[in-house]
Amino acid sequence: MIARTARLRWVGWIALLAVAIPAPLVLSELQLFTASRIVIFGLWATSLNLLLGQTGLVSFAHAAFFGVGAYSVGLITLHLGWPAVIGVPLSLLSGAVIAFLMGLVALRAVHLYFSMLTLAISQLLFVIVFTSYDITLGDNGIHGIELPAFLGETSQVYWFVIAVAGLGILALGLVWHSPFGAALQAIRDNRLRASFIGLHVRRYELAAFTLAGMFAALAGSLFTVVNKSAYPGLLDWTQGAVPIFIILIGGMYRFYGPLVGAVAYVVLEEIVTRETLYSNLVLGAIFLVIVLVAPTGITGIAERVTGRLARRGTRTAEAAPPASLAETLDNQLEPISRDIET
Amino acid sequence: MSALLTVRGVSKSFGGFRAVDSVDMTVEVGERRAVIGPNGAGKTTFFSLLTGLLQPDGGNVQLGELELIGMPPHRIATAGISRAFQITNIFGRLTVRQNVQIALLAASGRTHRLWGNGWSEKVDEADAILAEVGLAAAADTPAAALSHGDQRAIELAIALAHRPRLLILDEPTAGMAPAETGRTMELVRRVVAERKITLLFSEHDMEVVFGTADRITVMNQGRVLAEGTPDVIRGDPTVRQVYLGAPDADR
Amino acid sequence: MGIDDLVIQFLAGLTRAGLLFIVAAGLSLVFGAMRVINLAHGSLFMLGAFVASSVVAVAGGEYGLLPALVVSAIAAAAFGLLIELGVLRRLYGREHLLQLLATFAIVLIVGDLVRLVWGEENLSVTRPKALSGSVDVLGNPFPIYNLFIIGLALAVGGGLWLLMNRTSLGRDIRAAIVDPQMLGGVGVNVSRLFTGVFVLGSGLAGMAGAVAAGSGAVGLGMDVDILVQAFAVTIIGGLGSIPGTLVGACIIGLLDAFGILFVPRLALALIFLAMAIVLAVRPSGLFGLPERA
Repeated sequence: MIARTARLRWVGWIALLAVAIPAPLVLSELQLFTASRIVIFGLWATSLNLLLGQTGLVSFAHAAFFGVGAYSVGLITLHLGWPAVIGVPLSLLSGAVIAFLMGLVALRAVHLYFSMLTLAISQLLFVIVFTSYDITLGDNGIHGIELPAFLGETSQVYWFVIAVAGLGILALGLVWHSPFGAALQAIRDNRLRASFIGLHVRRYELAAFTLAGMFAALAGSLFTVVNKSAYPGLLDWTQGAVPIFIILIGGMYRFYGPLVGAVAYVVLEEIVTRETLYSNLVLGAIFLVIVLVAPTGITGIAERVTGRLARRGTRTAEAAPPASLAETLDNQLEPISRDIET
Repeated sequence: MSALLTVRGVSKSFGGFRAVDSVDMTVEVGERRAVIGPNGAGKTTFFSLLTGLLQPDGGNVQLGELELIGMPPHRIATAGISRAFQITNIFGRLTVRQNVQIALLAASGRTHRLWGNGWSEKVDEADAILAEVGLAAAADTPAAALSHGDQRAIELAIALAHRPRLLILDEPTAGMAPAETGRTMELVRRVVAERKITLLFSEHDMEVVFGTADRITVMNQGRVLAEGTPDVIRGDPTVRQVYLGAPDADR
Repeated sequence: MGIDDLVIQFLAGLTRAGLLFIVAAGLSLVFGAMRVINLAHGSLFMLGAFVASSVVAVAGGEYGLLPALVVSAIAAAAFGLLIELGVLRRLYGREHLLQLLATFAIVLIVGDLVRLVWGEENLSVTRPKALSGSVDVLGNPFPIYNLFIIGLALAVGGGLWLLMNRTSLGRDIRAAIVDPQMLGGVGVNVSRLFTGVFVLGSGLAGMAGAVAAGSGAVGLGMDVDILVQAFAVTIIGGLGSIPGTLVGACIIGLLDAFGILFVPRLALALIFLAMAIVLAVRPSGLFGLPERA
């Protein structure tokens, strides 16, 4: 059974690429723009899910890393005159450094205190960017960034985004499925027990935090390449909730959950902003409903449905496939683990 | 017989309250030692001190030649002590097999690798342990979906994955019906004998204690009240008065 | 920069501290007793401010703000009741993340609702005549309204102290803060307690909003601005501790006042720095209890 799902997974990815790569031949400029957004947000949310779904760290700082990546591109074009694309691999470095430093401080706390520390430090970065007019042009932001000749057409930019984001997602996928990733999942489920089986929990969390920040910054750099601008609003903490909602919509316990969520979110958001002035009201209401009714997201619903179908097909209880994670969580009346922290 | 665990003068206070007061204990290799005492006697705190969850105010703890004081829990785990918890403390979202796999992976130091397929390693070893504790059929079920008794078995399986020299069980049969209790302790006794593990456990169920322990330590109010073989303890008048509640004790 | 200017800044800081205390006390209680981080707390504050502006517009500027305090508190409390019964109640015992996200969704909803009802423009609110004007402090004028805020904060603090230490509700709240698992076991009606605490916290937020309305412009974005500072206060002071909230509010209020004076660009940064330092050294805040699931 494991081999079959692995094969299905590969088929899924290849099918996705088969659709994504020739897209510029069929889609309009505006649609390509949306598609780029989906891919970038997908990378962004997948990097956060390394923390959220895989390690159990609720971080509100992911807008800050996104912004770090965006400004990596913006600042080198503005002050150094370097080609914008250099900012893309550079963002991995800047993201890693900022995330590592932030993690050193924030991970001294746990659970809700950790979350609020990430929020605070993220806001600190926002304020720094906002007020450092000499360096970042402050509230004005950096606009009109020039791209090199090979990124002159929208389709070329799109392919660039697909390629880079694709590599980023691949890297995150490797981490998700690795022994390191397995250890993160154990830490998520039971931090205390994880240390008792011999894992230096804080070190793993710091590593995860740094990796997540790196790829969030990568997503931010791609954003700036596509939009040719970087502005402080990208770092605002309310932006930090966007990848969290994407993960929620898509489902946090499957690697591709955030990608599914990105599609749903971007499409939803564009429709809502087009139809009404009060997009926050509508989106907020939708999110609320999802939180209350379907917290395991689209992939969770899909799992529940396939689980039920699979069970209906079997005659005896023994042959029935085991309860899926989503179903187990739905039947869960209490939180999964309770930390006995004295 | 050499001593595996040597505890000397270990104390822990919270504010003004002495939870553990100058406890001495020596556990021999291969011994099955029970720690009993009324609620609040300090048993759980004592176990937390042994496994690095808490740091003692004074005294020392040695596993063989190794000084354990000051070591964080993850180091103590690799040193050879495994602990199962009073409140079931497993990895709920992982499958039963994954619960054991991750313990095996951590024990073998392979969890820092960022490549490769994490859950495809140590499958056979995990299945072997699951078979030992009777959970082979549930291997692919999320751990949170299992019954309480089965989750306790997962607890044991995780503890075994580290090939501990000393296994610490904190009230292994808490909340179990009598039939389950018997089965669980039989499993524990079998596993401990087969793997030549030294056992240290706390319990409230006296049948379990007298049926499993070679020696018993009685704690009360953070101190060691008495220690000896089950017969000695059963006959000790102070123990009966404080804990077993013998009808002939003067009130 | 003389002593007189420093004293004025100090009093300004205390004023800010007073307002922050009223807001943060509700936030802290809700977390302490219910273990819920209510991101919508700032939204209830903003709601209170806008409601106050309407009350004053209707009742006239002479005395309008004083009844507005009550009306805003009630409006926010009613909204809080709606939130607790309709949303939070379904999420108790589940992942904390879900509660966080639910309250964030409410932030989005309330933000747009306020925009829908009151429009995009900033509104200003006239202070009651009795509280207008200023008092002479060492040669500098200091607004009487600010003294009112400080006084009100002290009154709220005193009222909360009485509540927590002299009433059965307060006793139950304290029990909930210390050990939430035990509550049901000692015969407390937990759902009623939670509803009560949440309504109380919401009411405090709404009242603080009305107070803030008299202090300056009422506008969209008030929810986020106050939330970040209120969180800083509760984190520094320790979630669930009223004395901690008082200390935290003073720290943040004074940092705010003196920060603006000496390092205007980084005043906000100072606050976050303080937060980060406190949490790094004492992860549960100055007076807080260690984090328990």
